[in-house]
Amino acid sequence: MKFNHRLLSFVFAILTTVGLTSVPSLAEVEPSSPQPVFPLRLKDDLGYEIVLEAPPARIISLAPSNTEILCALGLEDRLVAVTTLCNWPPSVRDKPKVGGLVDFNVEQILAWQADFVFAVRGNPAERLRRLQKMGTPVYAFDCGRLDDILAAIERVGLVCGVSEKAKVLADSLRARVERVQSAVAGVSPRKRVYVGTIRSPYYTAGRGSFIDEVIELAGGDNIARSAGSRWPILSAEQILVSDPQAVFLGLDYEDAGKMNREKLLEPFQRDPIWSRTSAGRQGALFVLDQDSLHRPAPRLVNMIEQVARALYPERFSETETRHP
Amino acid sequence: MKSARRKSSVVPGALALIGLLLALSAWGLTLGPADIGFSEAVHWVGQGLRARLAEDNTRGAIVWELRLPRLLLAALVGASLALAGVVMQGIFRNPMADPFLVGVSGGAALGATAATFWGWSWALAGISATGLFAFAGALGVSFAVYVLAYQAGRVPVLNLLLVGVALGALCQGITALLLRLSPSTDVQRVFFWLMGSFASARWDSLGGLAICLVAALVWLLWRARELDLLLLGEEEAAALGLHVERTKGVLMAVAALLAAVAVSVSGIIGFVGLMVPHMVRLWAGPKHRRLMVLSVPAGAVLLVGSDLVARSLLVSEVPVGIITTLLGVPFFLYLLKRKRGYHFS
Repeated sequence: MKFNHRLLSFVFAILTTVGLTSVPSLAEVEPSSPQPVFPLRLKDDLGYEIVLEAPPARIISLAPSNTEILCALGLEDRLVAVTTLCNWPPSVRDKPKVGGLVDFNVEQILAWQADFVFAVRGNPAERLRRLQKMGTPVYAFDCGRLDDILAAIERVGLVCGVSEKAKVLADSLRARVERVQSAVAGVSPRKRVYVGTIRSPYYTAGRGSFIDEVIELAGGDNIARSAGSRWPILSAEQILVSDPQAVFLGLDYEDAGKMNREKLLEPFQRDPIWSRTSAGRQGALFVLDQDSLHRPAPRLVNMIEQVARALYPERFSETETRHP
Repeated sequence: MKSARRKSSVVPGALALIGLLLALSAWGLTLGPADIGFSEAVHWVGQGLRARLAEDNTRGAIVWELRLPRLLLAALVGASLALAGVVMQGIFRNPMADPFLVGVSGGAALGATAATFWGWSWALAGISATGLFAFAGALGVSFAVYVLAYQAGRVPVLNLLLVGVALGALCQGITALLLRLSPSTDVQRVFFWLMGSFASARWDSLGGLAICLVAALVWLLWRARELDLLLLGEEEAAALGLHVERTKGVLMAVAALLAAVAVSVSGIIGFVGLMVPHMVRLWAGPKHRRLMVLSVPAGAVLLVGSDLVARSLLVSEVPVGIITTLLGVPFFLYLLKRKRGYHFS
């Protein structure tokens, strides 16, 4: 089913480039009414139902991805507190902290008199239920793919009464992905890509991870696709055998800023493993922002664009706008 | 009569284990995602031995630089841990003793975590900063255990055990704190390391361990009689003229050093050092020279075999420590059940 969806979107992307526009894209599965009617009855991704009388004014985010979505929708002012992991946009670093993904402080949330909590599947369910029992509505997301992220954006818009804005954001993200897809449409053969650590143990991303989807949407073939788990560890031999043509290294935002690629490239090309791969011989090592890569949030689209541009620079014109 | 039979079966036993080790290694050379058969693998090993492998020869590199060092490392680590286990069980006269008893594993884990926590990624003589700090932590904590267990001119075994457990818990606490404070990607790395793996095996990480193993084995075979005397009990051993405290101290230092070097290149692989000496003892009796001669190849066989399973189970790397436990424990329990009346000494 999912595969068919992707195939369809691919076909649409091609049609769009040929000029047959106005075909509705697949991600618009959830028809969202422009003006939500309160009271609002909604079911979250974990199957729990909430009833909302009015858009919340004091929101707590229990995951960096939620924080990024809320801020992208201009709701930063309503955000009372975030997790210690939330660092984007940079201004949220000054927000009060409620704890981490797992060890957030329920009592503190009650003390802040939050009227809404955006959670994720990774938060402990038992604590979320306790919050809910004590009268704070909790809405949890479980985003596995890009489509889920777009749906989550529209859902946040619905809850917070900014549906228009959410639709505009989701549409623009969708359009950017489609632009990438039409740019890389028909590349053959697709480049073999490795995204992960470049020292042993080689942690990488397999089927079912966002990273795998990013690689695929950008027109690459993930060499860890068949590794049998979402976050596999590849052996050096596996890397030599699959011979990646491009390697992407996820680094922390600050490290990525400090670290210049040339500094990494020299040891990479001297490494006994990487020097024997196409990527090593051609110096095809690229640095990505780790947080953007690992969070189901709007910035994942930047990753798709960056990976596609790195893989197939000839298919992207210099004049095209770059997204920060 | 019985012991005569046992004595005669030691050499064939050791030869059989070495044969098994060679057979497993031959199979290991052909095992992996790259489809390389035995004769091709032997060809590349031959080329490698004569330093004739070209830089861009990927298939040659897979055999000579990945598969072979990995097999050798597994064998060396297995042999070292088993030998260290024999010595520790001898000193402590306790079936629960293993090479990690006196703070080696706790210290190694703390050292490795600290190195990762501060982000050191350099390497010295083929051993990573993580490995060097693991080594330093293992030796440092072992030494601290010995010093703290010292009491009125003696180091009672009970004190060693208790201090070892206490310092181990302290190391664990600090390790957990460091992990809690570090970013998630570091935690993954440390976790993988703690479970033990031969995935990072390289030629230049083998030399140190090989030298330590051979030196320790020769020296211990020469002093095996002293371990036998210790088995009688410390007072009896002293009555027979053994300088008990000095012997214990030196033997413990050798075992801790061996375990620490093994840990520094492979992470913490549990259970080998506990289980192998017991399995061998069930078969060959408690005499230490025999125990050592058989435990060394048996440890190598166990880890080489476990690593082969770890390599073929999934495309994703599986820490070998998981396999040694899953494979070894049922086999060990089977042996214990079958052989009634197992006596430690």
